[in-house]
Amino acid sequence: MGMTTEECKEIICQNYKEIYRFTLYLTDDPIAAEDLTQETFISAWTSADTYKAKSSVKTWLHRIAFNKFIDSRRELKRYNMLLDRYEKSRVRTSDGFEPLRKIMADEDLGSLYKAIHTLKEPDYVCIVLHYIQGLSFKEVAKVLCKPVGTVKWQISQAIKRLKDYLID
Amino acid sequence: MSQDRKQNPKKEMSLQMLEEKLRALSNIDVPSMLETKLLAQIPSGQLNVQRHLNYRWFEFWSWGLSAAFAAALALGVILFHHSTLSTSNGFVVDPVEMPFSHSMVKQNNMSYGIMSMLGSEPNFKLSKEPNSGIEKGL
Repeated sequence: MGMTTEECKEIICQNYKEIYRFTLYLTDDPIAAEDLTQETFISAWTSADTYKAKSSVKTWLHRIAFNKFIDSRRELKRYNMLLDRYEKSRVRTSDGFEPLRKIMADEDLGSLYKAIHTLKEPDYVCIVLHYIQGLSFKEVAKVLCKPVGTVKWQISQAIKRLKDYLID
Repeated sequence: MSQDRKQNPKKEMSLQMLEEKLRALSNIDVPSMLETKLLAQIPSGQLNVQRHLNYRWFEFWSWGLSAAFAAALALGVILFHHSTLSTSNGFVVDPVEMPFSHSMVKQNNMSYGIMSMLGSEPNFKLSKEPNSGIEKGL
C-alpha cells in the first residue's frame, strides 16, 4: 500500500488518541505510552506495504501497538535486571501529566480501574480492547491472534471476576 | 433466562452498569504535543510507493528466474533422455545430429525416400557396434 503524506496524516488524526489510550492501559506509564504510540506509527509507515485491507486500519494499528508492547516489555525486563544488579538509583519521572486524572477523580471509576488491574493479563487485555477501546469481538480476536470464541469466553470470565471483586 | 432476569433485575442491571463504567474508562487525557510529534514523523509518501514498486519488481524477477530455471531443467532432462536412446537393433544414435523423431530411427527401416519427404537427408550412418555412438556422415 503506497500512502501519501495526506493519507498518513488522516490515519494519525483518526487513531492516535485510541492507540495512546491502549498503550497507556498496557503500560500504566504515560511516558512509555507516548513512546509506544510513536513507535507504533513509525512501524506502521515502514511496513505500510504489508497492510492488507482484510482488517481495518484501527485493528492493524492495535495489532502493531500490542506487538510493540510485548517487545518493549521484554526489553524492560532486561533493563530492570540490569538496574537491580547495580542498585536502582534512577527513577523515571513524568512531567506531572496525568492522563487518568478524570478517572481517578471519580470514586467508582477509580475502584473499577483498580479492579481491572487484578485480572490476569490475557483477560485484562481483552477487557481493555473490547470495552475501553471499543473493538468488536472479531477485531479483538484479530489483534490478539486468537479465535473469536476464546475471546468471548475470556471476556465473560473477566466480567464475572470483576463483578465478584466489586461485590466483595 | 428471561425468568432469571425478571427474578433478579438488580443483578442484570449491575452487569449493564459495569459495562457502562468500563466504557467510561476510555475518558482519558492525551498529551497535547503527541499529535504534532506524530505528524512530524511521517516519511515522504514517495518512500512507501517506491518500496512498493521495488517489491513488485523483485517479485516479477524472482518469478521470471524461477520459470527460466524450470525451463532449463526440463530441456536438460529431455536432452539427457534423448542422448541415451538406443535403436531396436542395439545401435545408439545421437539425437543432436538427428533431424527427425527418435521413434522413426528406432524402427530402423526408414527409407531414404521417407526421410527426403521429411525434408531432411540423413547425415549419419549407424554404427555396427552397440554404444559406440554415431559415425558422422560425409
